[in-house]
Amino acid sequence: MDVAQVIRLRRAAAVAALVALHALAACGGEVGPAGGGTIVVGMRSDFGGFNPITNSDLYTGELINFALFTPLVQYDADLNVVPHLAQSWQEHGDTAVVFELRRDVRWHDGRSVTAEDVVFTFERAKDPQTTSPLLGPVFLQHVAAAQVIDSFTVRFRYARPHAQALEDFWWAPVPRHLLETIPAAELRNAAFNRQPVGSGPYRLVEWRAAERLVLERNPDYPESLGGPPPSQRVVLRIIPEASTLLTELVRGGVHVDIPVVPDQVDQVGAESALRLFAYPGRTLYYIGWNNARAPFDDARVRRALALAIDRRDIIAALLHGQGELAESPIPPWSPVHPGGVAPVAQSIDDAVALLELAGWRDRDGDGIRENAEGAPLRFDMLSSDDVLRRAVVEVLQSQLRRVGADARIRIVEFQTMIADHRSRNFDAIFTNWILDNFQVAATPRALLHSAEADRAGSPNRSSVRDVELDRLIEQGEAATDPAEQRRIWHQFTMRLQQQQPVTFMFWLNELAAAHSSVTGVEMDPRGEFLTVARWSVMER
Amino acid sequence: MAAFVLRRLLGAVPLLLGIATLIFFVLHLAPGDPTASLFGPQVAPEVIEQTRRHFGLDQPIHVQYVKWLAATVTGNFGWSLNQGRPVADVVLDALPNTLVLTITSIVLVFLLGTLIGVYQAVRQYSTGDNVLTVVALFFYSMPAFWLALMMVLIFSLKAYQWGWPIHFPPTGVTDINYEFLSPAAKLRDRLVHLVLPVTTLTLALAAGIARYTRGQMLEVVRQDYIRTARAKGLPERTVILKHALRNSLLPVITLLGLYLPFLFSGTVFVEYIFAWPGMGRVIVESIGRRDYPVIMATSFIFAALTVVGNLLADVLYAWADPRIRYE
Amino acid sequence: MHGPIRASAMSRTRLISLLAPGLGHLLVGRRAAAAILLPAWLLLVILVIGAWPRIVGVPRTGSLDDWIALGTLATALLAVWGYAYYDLQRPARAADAAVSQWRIAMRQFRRNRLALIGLGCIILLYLATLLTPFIAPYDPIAQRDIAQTSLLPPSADHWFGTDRFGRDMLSRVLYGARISLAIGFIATTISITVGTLLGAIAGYAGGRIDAALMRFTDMVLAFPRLVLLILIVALFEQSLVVITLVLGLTQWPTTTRIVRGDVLSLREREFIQAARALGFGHVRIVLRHLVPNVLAPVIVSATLGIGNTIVMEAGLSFLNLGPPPPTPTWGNLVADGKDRLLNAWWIATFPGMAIVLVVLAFNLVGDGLRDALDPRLRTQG
Repeated sequence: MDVAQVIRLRRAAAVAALVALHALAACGGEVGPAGGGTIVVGMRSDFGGFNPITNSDLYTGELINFALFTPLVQYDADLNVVPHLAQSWQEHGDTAVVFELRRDVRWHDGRSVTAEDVVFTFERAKDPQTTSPLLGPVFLQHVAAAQVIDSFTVRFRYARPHAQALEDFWWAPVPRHLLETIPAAELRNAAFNRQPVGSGPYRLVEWRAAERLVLERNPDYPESLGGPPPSQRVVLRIIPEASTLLTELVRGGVHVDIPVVPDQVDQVGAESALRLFAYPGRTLYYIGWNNARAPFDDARVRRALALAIDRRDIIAALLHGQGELAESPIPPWSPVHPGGVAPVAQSIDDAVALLELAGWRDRDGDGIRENAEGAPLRFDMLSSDDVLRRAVVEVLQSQLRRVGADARIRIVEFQTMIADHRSRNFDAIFTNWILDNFQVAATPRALLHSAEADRAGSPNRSSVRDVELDRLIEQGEAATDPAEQRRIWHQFTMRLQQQQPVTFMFWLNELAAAHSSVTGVEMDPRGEFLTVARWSVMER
Repeated sequence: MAAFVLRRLLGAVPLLLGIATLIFFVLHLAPGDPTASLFGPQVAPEVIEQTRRHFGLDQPIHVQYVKWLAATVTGNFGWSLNQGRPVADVVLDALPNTLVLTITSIVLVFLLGTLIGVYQAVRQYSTGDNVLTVVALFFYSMPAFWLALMMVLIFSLKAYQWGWPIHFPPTGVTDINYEFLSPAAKLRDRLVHLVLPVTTLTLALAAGIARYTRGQMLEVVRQDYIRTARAKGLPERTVILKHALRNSLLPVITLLGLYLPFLFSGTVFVEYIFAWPGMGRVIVESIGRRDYPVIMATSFIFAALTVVGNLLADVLYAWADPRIRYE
Repeated sequence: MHGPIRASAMSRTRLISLLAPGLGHLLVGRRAAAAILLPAWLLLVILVIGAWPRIVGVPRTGSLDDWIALGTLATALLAVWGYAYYDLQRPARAADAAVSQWRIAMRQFRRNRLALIGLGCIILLYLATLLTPFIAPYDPIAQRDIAQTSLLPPSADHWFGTDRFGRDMLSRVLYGARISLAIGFIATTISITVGTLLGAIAGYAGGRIDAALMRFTDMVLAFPRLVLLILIVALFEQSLVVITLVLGLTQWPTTTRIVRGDVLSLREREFIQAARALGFGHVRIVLRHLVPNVLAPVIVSATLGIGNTIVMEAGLSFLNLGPPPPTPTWGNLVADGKDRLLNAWWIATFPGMAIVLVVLAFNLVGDGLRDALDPRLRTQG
């Protein structure tokens, strides 16, 4: 082909491009579902494998519990346990419970969901070879054994009496007939996890990694559990960049945006066609002081620093009000939350007085306090590179400076932060803790009990050793009466405020946004996808 | 010709080997534990140890290296720690998307760049030339992520809000209802989704190519054989397009090859901002989660693509210019 | 074309020049020089007046930064003064038969208006970064009452608005300039040093050393720089030092290739042969004879490289892998603002524009230098 032909070709291409551009312009890239019944959800990150035994990801877990599988029990709006897969139960004191399962729930391949599936799931979850991150160690830690009584009856035996026992069972069984041939160690990588066969109101029909997930309605979902969903399809699109995701929501490219960043709250409010969902969540942010290192081995210093911090200002300015003060790891919306504990208010004067009392004085006029040996009140504050955390530690640094403490910010990549935190290689850290479920006793034990302080890699990374706290935690775990629990946690919170082994900052609201044309969307601490089986979109 | 290609191919092998080694050692010298992301905080340390053993992470580093190398060469890229499926699957899902983006961009960069460069050379010193120079340099200096953000802001969001006739979707490869569209609508849908990402990638590099083409053309036009052609009475258009252009294009091809790493770097940002499910995003996310097998495989493929691209450019050049073959 | 100027008129003009540099030039009709000197002088005077309290405070409580700024200010004033005075003394430049390669290059460069504008911008920018303690209206990391001062749009108080912590954006952009420019400068210095040395060695030694070095260079070149950057910073440590080092150590291949090419052709020239005949050691030949002669393309490559480095650093900061807070870098600032493009566009826009303009300036200068120094690469006749 000689050059003249090349030129002609190029000119033709240019003309074609112009024509194409006009063609595009004529109908201006409009989007929207073709034919009613498809809901598009925008998410920031991809999902993990859909296997309740091996899953540890938050949103994957929500889809498991509300869309793809049927858990044994569910929660109602007041966080009481209500029947779901299990249509009734009988408690035998505080040592065992017998569940009677529904008979009309089927796997998506037609077979019935039976007690064998439940027991199989239990055994796999407890099998150390499976390395189950959540189901085994968290939910079932107090459940010792499971037994098939008949096809639809299961008996669980507890290891010891404990609070909120029924909530151990907020998980869904997997089909034994599809997974029993897979060795426990391979369960994490099973092909099933990417093409799950569940029993929920939706079934998974397509998963293009990092791009989208398509759920389709299950027409056989029993009426007793709500019946098949009104929407034909739910498409979950993965859009990692928050500003692009919001753009798509405004344009109508997605109907629901989960989650929304606190910084975007104003923008959502400005758009009349969008609706913001904000509700108290399960994520608790706190400052971990390394109690095994000076100066944090002195409770007065910890308390002084806690008094120097203005948490309300941070919530107002950085979270745009989307957060609630935290005084303890018991969430404010939990039924056993002890009301009536006044939050620690910022008081620079008290903070200064405490520091002086503890022997920290600014001896050389540089604005930083030193102790009697001349060592300055200087430490590293560790944080990951997440946008919100970076913002908060910047403000913390500035607030602590006011009382003469020099907090140097150390931003590291997330995994590095986890590694340093886990190995107790830090001075102070700003991080979060996400509640796995609504049982409140688990977190205080994990975070603050001294038995965990020595164990390598345990969650008590601040090396908290307080006999009084230990006693209260043990009481709280064993108490089965809610009023009693509240009383114990009240004392627990008072002790926490006094000693500040870690300083609890705030509970971050979960934020999501949806187009006003979507109906049936309700969100609360139980999850964003709570009512996904009832979402539907009106034609615009 | 064949000998030349063979020589080049053989030369590429140690190159690829070196790159693979470099990646491996950078990854394994880094602090931090790749299995950390798999577990919640409550998991017992024994369980973590067991998983490490399962993935062979407790063996000495040279043993791991040899094993990895042997596996990679036979096509077994390992298993993604985070996604629980073969790395090969991850790559096969993502690679075509990146290729669509980069190949379209390269073609457009070449076409647009040379067109503008030729125009500038022919109309040297005119206002058009000066304006194009500044505009080209302007886009050449713009960071890719900034341009991407501005494109989303203006052509997607603001265009929608202000009711412009054209507004482009800022994300995705296809519409969600793609399967239900007619073939013609499908093609249109794909093109529409390509516009913003490809434009972002193309503008900066096209500017560079345009300037280079301009320079080459100007130099070539001063050569004796061009004067001869003109003296022979050939029409100006033939002189420029048939003789001058052909000789200027060849170095431009080499430059395109050199631009490949920049193109891939730009792809990382573009894919992230436009939610394009390609290799760039896979790399960034896998680095964030320390998914070592995926990081190694995708970095290696990026580098390999660059090497292959340069190889192609060299071969093209050699095919066009026989003198090169005997170097 | 100006002839010699009468003595008395000269001394009067010089007197005027002492008071207001540039004015003297204006009086003798040298408008081009006046157009630069007079505004520069006026700007400096305004700066001194405006920042007088800060200037006076330096001897008492000045940090190193403040002393540097004071020194720069003093130097700038003296330079403008002195140049104006001295320049009036010399006879106007005749069309000299300049022979030196550098003279020719400088003359060519001066004709390129775009490049001059770029150079002017760069000089202004570096001056601004040195004088930042006097120019920046606020402390870039000080947070006051957040609720009151956060997210204010551009106004007389805050020319570039404020960010979500209530910090003044203009000050942050200015301080961000320091970091970004410093990183660019240092990283590029590292890269051209390494690149020139390696390229010279490769070209001079030839044979297997050359082949091995070029293999290694190709390897580093084939790797997408951004991916390697992300890899190292994310996996190791996110600090200024690491970032600068990695940026520098990934940019040298282009320089190496250029230098090697030039050295290959220079190697056979007579003056090198003569040096060898005279018994000079290899090291001396490379360092004293070869390297100075390949500096021209190296400088071009360096100038363009600074621009590229600034963009890379901005990209890293955008992905939250840049220097940690509260250090402001331009990339950081854009990352801060990208989630608020709709309701607080100024946070991302001004730093973004700054990046584009600075890189544009470096590219213009680099282009101009390339045109001026290498007749073969000339893009403007």
